[in-house]
Amino acid sequence: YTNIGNPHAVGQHPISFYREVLALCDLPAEYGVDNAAVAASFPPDAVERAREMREAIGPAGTGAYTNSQGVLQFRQDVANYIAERDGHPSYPANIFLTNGASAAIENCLTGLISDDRDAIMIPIPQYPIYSALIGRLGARQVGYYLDEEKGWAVSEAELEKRWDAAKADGLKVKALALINPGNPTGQVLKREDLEVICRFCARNGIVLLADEVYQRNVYADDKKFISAKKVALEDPQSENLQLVSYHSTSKGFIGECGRRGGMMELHHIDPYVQSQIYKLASSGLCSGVAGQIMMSLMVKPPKPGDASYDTFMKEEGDIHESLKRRAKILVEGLNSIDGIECNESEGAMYAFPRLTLPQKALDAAAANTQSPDTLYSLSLLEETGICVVPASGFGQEKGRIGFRTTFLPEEDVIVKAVSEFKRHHELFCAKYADDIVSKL
Amino acid sequence: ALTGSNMNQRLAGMEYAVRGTVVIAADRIAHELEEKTVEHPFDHILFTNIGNPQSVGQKPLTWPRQVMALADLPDEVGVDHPLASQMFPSDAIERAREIKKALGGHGTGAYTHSQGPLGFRKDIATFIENRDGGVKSDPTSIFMSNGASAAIQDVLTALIADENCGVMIPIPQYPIYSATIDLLGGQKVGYFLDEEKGWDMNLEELGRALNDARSKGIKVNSFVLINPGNPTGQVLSKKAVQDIVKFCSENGLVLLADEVYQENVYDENAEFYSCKRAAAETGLLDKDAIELVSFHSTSKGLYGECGRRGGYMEVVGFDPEVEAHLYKKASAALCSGVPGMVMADLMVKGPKPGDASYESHEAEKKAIYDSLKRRAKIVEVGLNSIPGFSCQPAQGAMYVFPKVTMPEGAIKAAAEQNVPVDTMYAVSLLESTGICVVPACGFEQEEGRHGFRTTFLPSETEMEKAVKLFRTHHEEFCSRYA
Repeated sequence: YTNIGNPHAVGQHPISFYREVLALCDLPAEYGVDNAAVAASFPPDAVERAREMREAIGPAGTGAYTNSQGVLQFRQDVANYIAERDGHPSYPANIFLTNGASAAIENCLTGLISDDRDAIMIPIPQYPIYSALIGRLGARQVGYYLDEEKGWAVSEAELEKRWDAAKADGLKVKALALINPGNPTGQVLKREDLEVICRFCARNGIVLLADEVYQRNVYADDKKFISAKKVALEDPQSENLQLVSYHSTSKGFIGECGRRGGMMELHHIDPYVQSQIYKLASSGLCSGVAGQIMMSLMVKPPKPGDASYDTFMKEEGDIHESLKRRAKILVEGLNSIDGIECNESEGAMYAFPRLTLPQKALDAAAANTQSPDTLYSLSLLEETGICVVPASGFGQEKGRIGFRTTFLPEEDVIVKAVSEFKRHHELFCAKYADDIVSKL
Repeated sequence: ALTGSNMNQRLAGMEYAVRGTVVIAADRIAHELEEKTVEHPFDHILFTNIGNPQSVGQKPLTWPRQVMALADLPDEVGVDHPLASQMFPSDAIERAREIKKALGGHGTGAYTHSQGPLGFRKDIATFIENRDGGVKSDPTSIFMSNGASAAIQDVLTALIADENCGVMIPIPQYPIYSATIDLLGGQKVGYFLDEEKGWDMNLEELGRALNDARSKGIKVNSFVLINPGNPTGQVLSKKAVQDIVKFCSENGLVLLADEVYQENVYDENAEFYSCKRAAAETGLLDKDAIELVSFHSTSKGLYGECGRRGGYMEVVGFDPEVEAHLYKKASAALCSGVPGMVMADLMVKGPKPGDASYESHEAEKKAIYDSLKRRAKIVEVGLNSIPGFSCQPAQGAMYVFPKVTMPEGAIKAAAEQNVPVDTMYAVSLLESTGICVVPACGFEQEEGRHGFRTTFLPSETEMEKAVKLFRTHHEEFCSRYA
């Protein structure tokens, strides 16, 4: 299964320290933190951190509904992380802990969309939670195309073009979604790129929704993650930018997807609107406490000198290095196949190759009322057992064909997958041979 | 810029009183008490606004927490740790192994099947079958969710196709229904419960509500039943449940059966009887003549694991295409939280007789149950002894919903201030006693009726004290607004 960013399902191990603290938070004290055997079974810093977290949660423990924005101390931990990351202050009152970033995105889009002339600008290609939610909420999506030839870059000209077209159509653009690092595209944006986007949103009075869940997954040596908030605060032309930034425990190096830990930070959002977002969050009472705990742990890992520090650094370091290797193995491998081209995965967890297919394959797909990439992906699945997602699921330039695959399975599995991708591609092209169509 | 006037107006108009104005004020006061910045005539807030047992002193059950911890811990520091048997009972270790297996060996950190792991859903199906006297339950029609709240919101999303779609809801009701219907732009079609008859349901009233709505052109397509009731606490008789199921079948209404309090029944003459069982025993299930969705949760019962966000719905008799869309909606959020799913699995399948934890687990549950039963009575009797109060017994659930006679002066003052008198009363109660309740208007009620909802979840001592404070505040309030 390389269809979904779900690391633990394909062999990645959880971070031990985090699971130890979580267990000690859930166990009644006499069976956990205060138990005679605990010192022999758990490292002292896990016990200490669990005590701190239990204190932060309060005597009610992990079984009670919390504040609807999440436990205050955990929000403070997130704020401290953001402040250190960006060099600018962050406030727990503006932070909401949520059931994954997905729930936070849904909350915001619900707040933003008032009628069917409202529109949200989304990158093409994009992660389909945006298209799905916009569709369900009855608004319109306005795609801004990322430039594959230029490493999936965003240009001001493209943004302006789409804005003008939306206006001409009588649509009211309310927000722009940005995914950095990109999903499915894997690019990591530079400060200049982010300035273009921030200025565009500020200038037009629309909210920037910055999906930054892969902020720790950066592999390209010449790239660094920089947050939209930092860029906006340091750019006078983005002074009035309204911004919501999202993060998650599902990605990074900890891959705690099933925990459903997520957060959003609101920046320059109208206080009344923020109170309504609070109200919406309160109608679901609160997000899962286990996810809140995991979010706090993720942003506040063991420190040098802590008993678990070395193990933690090794565990995370190994995962990071391995992801970096796997990204390279996969992308190089795909590029070595005739008819497949793939941009570098500078970040995130995916490769998004482009395919050149014989015309007969395109005809066969059309006859089946399928997209060519669905036909290809099904063939791939049936021939090799590899489950990818057809590129049409993410949106792409007209005529482009491709798929998204993760590089999450273990290294030797990725190596094997590359040869299977090659073997299948050759088979597929032979099956539909004659008239290799040039890429559109 | 995004402002109050161009944001989603339905969201702006939606209300959810359980964490609304009065509670926000209580949070502010609690903060003032903690920081000692403002003086108040009490030293702590008693939060009786929300069914959140563990926040007011109820202890978690031990065995589920042990299993959860072991399920989360990597094997070498958990189930396989050499000292595991010193820290954990054998049945907790064994069950954790089973859970890890049901999770496919990926542990609790991976996204699961979007409906929840099949093994958990099979356990839920078995629980339902045993509860309902053997009526079959299909695991493929069970959807695990972040609390019952999330499942309810998903179903309402599917039901409300346009502004003319109507959902029948009890008056009074738990406001997730009114809030979600408002947010989705649908129509609320209220049917009144009969307070004088212990909040019983009345078939004529159901017919009246339905016909009134339909004659106005509202496409009423569903019916919400909360049994045991919230805020009203009634437990419906077998006949009443069967009548409702038949009513829904005859009128083509999807029945949404909110049964999260099914394990909170205190009245010795009452028994929980599920809508599914009623559908079976009236023959409607066999004839495929009913569309039913039933909700349950780990937040209530005797577990009180609210923060875990465990819940599920069972869908019966739905068009397969609709069910496929419900699956799709669940899949767009990937899956609900694994901790909640594990807790739901433990709730429906606890230790068995002979297991190491069986007796202690049962004893823990019984202690909680017995105490809830006592507290329900203490509060009902206590409130009924206050002149001006009339309180129906809490046959089940976690709340009492007294009717309070407001002095004329208060009604006038509230009208002048443009606030509901219930809210004014609740704020006054909060400011003089520190007790935080939810104004009755937050649940909807008969015109001219006033009151509030309070839980009886804090300790017996606290609730006895609270009853006295309700009385003294009411006397003072009535003389202030005489």
